[in-house]
Amino acid sequence: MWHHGRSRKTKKTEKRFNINSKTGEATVLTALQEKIKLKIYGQVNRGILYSDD
Amino acid sequence: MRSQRIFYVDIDNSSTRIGIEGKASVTKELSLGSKIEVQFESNSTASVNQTSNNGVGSNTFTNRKLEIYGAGEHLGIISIGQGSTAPDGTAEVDFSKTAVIAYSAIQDMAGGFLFRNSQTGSLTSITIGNTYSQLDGLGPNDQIRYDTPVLLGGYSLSTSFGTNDT
Repeated sequence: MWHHGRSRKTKKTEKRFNINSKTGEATVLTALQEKIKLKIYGQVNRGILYSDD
Repeated sequence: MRSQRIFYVDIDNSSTRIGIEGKASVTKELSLGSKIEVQFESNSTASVNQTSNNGVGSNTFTNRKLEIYGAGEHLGIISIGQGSTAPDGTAEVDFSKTAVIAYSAIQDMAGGFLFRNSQTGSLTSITIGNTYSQLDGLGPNDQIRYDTPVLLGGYSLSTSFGTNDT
């Protein structure tokens, strides 16, 4: 079916998932974020502490 | 009474955390952004001690960075909200780059541990954190902060004014 004027075809959203090998930060970029760049990052820092008092 | 213990802890020097940063270009010269960073510490090294070794902490998220900013190559950076103050971290540099081995904040590593009475051997109410100063600038705070653009030689200047400042 033909549509007059603007195409109603939805632009396909492209997703890119990048990981910074130095910092471990992961970034998700989509076509919707061409103007807004969003970075999500985190860390889990657990350890064992020994005491002798 | 002397004893040996093992604690399974969250390292307060650089706690378990999650963050989201957003940034958008408004014009060629100006961009706006936001930072949200929270931590969740269970059994923090700053809190566990001889009498509390499990389930220590608020068991909830606590804030680290909650701020918005405007930035430009010639403008510098203006930020408002909770974030790192201008002098934060200026005197706690650890040249090992681990923020552990030669780190000045001893209370982050074992600040909750209680001293013993040298005569009786019983635990006192005085903690390691009570007796040491980190000797650093102001920590994170609710504030307004300005960082100049990079000046000659790669340096920049920063200043901040927080709600607890006078």
